[in-house]
Amino acid sequence: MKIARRTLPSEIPTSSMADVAFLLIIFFLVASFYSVTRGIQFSLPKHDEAALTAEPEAAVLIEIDANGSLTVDNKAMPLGDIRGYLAPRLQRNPTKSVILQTSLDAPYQAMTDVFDELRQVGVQNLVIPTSSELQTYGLRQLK
Amino acid sequence: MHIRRSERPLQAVIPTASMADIAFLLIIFFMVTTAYSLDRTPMELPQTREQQQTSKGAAIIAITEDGSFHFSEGEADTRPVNGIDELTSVVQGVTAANRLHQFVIKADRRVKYRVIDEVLERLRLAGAENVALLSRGEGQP
Repeated sequence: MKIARRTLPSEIPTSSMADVAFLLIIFFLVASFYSVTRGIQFSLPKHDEAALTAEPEAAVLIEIDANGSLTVDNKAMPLGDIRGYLAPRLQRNPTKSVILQTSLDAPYQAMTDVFDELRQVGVQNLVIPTSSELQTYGLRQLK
Repeated sequence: MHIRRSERPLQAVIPTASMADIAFLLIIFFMVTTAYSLDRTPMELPQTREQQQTSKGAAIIAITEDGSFHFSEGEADTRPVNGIDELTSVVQGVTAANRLHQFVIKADRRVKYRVIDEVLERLRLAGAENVALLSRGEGQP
């Protein structure tokens, strides 16, 4: 007796491959949304160079006190007015130094708010002295 | 005129063979562009409008609201660090190998500036030059 041979289909089933691949795509898409990798960058002064090279008279001094209110060159000023105060000075001298001193009891957000605003205005020379630097250079330290 | 219909039936198959190729290309694209967050400490980041991409492989210093530190050299996940002095020694380990290695400070917005000031001072003394403050952009979750 002759047994009829069934012809096997000569195909690799690849239809589910696309499904698997699209699942992986969705995974990586979602994963990329959830990672926080952005922020504001700045350079710390090199250890051997004087941190406050600019004369304090020529620089704009911004102080943030413990409750987050600002004093710019010894005058109280709301955050929104900094742009109007700095813009003409930066136009005259684009490399004008700005010294940002934050009270040690101020919340971190108060400092980043001002930092952000200064970056928006386009300050290139931003100095953020730490408290021991201020001591070294004999500058006034905020309480 | 009568057109004779072809005797061969038309194949009712959508060609999906290249679909997987396209999908895998997209996967590779997303794999390469996805930067995993090495630190998953839950915290409220400060909000800023100015945002720049931090470099991949940067060392991460995470500071939570209660002032405890987590640190990662940029390869592995962050691990808890005991106080500022241990943080200083691990930071020095990184700057000794490469002074230009980027440090990312991921701090809670409610943290007192005293802590940030101390960390910046230690970073400066260790010779670090490139620092970024991690923040949340406007309208981001």
